[in-house]
Amino acid sequence: MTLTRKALLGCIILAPGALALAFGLRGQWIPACVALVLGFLCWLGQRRGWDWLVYLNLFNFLCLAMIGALLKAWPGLVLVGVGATLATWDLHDFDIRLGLAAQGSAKESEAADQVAKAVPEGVTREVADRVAEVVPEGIAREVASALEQRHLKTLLIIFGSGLLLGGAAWLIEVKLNLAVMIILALGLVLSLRRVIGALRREKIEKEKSVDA
Amino acid sequence: MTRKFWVLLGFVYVLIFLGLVTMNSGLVALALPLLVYLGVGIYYAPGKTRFSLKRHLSCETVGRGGPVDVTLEITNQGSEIEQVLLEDTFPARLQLISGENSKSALLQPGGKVELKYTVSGERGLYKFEEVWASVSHIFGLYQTRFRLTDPAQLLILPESLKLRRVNIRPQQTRGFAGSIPSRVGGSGTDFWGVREYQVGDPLRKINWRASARHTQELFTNEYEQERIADVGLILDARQQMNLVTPAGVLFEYSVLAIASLAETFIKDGNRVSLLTYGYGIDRVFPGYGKVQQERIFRALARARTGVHYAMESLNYLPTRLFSARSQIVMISPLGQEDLPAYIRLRSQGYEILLVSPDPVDFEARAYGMLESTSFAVRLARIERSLLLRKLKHLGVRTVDWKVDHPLDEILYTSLRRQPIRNRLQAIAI
Repeated sequence: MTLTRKALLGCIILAPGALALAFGLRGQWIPACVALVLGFLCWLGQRRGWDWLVYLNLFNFLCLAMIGALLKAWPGLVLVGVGATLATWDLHDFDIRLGLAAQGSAKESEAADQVAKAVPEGVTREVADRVAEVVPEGIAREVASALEQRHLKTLLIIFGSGLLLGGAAWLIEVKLNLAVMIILALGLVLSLRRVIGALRREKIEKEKSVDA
Repeated sequence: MTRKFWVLLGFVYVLIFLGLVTMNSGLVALALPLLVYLGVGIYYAPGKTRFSLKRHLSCETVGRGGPVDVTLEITNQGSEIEQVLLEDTFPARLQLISGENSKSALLQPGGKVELKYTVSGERGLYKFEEVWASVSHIFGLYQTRFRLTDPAQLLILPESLKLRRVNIRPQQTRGFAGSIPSRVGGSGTDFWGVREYQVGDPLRKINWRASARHTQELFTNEYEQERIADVGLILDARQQMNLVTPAGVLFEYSVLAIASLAETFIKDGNRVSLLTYGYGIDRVFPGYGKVQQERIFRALARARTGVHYAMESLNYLPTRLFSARSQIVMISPLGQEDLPAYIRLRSQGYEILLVSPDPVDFEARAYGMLESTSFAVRLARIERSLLLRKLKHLGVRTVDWKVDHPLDEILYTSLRRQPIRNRLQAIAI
């Protein structure tokens, strides 16, 4: 099992576990059970390779976290649940991409391996084997492993900083008056408008590239 | 930006919006891990992605069905790429024999990916143009898809059959010795006539029998000179004449016939040219030898049927492109409206050999003989045989080729010299 798979499994356990615990500590057993059921579903989807379930799980767990926030569930654990959900979602995608890339590299290294195994004249078998060990497969594995470690490290930093920021936002209470609220809402609407504009532009560019 | 990015952004908006509406700081706090994730994704947004592409074909010209290895080497000249999916789009009419034309890989700066595959195909000119590269960056929030180009061309030459010598007899031949009777007396093998003895004539050529009848004169036998000739090959590529059925394309048989004839005529030392008439006029100027054969085969590899409103009938066939009174070999399925063109060519002094792949038989075999269509097929056959007979009367030598029969056999039987009795019978009919 690769490092990514291990981390993915950990996140699949952590996300529903943290949410269930957050509800359970407040005595809210129904949402806690729902979290566990969703967690089981997530694990099952992962085992069976139901890729379509990944987005649904993200939606489900975020909704559950929102309910947790509204029902005043244990805040730290809810945040951990959200972070783990996000990590699950990301790692699933990363695992697929890594698998695809590794497939391509493995085929290449197999071919190179075959070439290396055909010992050329004047070269001993030992030397050829050593070359075959070092050159083709080694590079692909090294690159994949380094990439995997870097990705997980970045994700861990995001997870940590997200928790810190989220926790701080939850704990620090700032009284906002109506004017600030209106400004914030306006900012939200304006940024949303920009996002929609960007989305449209992207769609047009895609259509253009398809036509081309 | 990918769907992943937009989904996440959507969730962030929903959480912040709900947080503002419900005045619940917890909901806004939940959006923060997602925002951090997006922020890191944006921070590591892709810079300039640069690739260099080198395409190599194992050969640029190949015979029909011959395998061609395509090798693509893509080098990353930009920053590190977590995943790149490369897809080479080769022409649809080519078949992939082995290897893969797409690959996903990790690419470090300066890293290389090699795509290798083997294709084969039917006659034609194939253009390899673009390779699509889809690059995914950290977290898969961004995906850039762009096109790399290193164009290459593959020419698959037509097949040709070995034919026996094709007997042609143009009115005018060229000055060099060859294999075609030139209608001029001189040195040769076939008896041509008798003339008065001239000083220098070899004694073995004296016709002693004729000389014996005269007291003071000697007579010499003359033989028909054999020379090379100008042969103009015309390929009828008009779309309306060439049938396409589930069993195949009639035009491919025309190409097969013309390639085989070109090879035979060139082998006999003749000066051969080619004119493809249909979607336009594609011409190979007259020439001799293997280089000319290569030129003709290359032109035939590119040949395709097409529609051109100025060339719907053969009436606009540019005869100036052929030497006066030379041999024209026409490969055409033949239509009723083509008759005037043949009359014109004959009146201009051209010797015409028409090899006509039979479209009626071709279509009938492709769709099967049904009771409902048998009468129509019969009528079409009668119409065609009448047309062929008219052409024969014009002095056009015709070869009616049912494409499932071997071309060599058909040419041999149709063009061999018939006994005079048979010829007279044919004319009488």
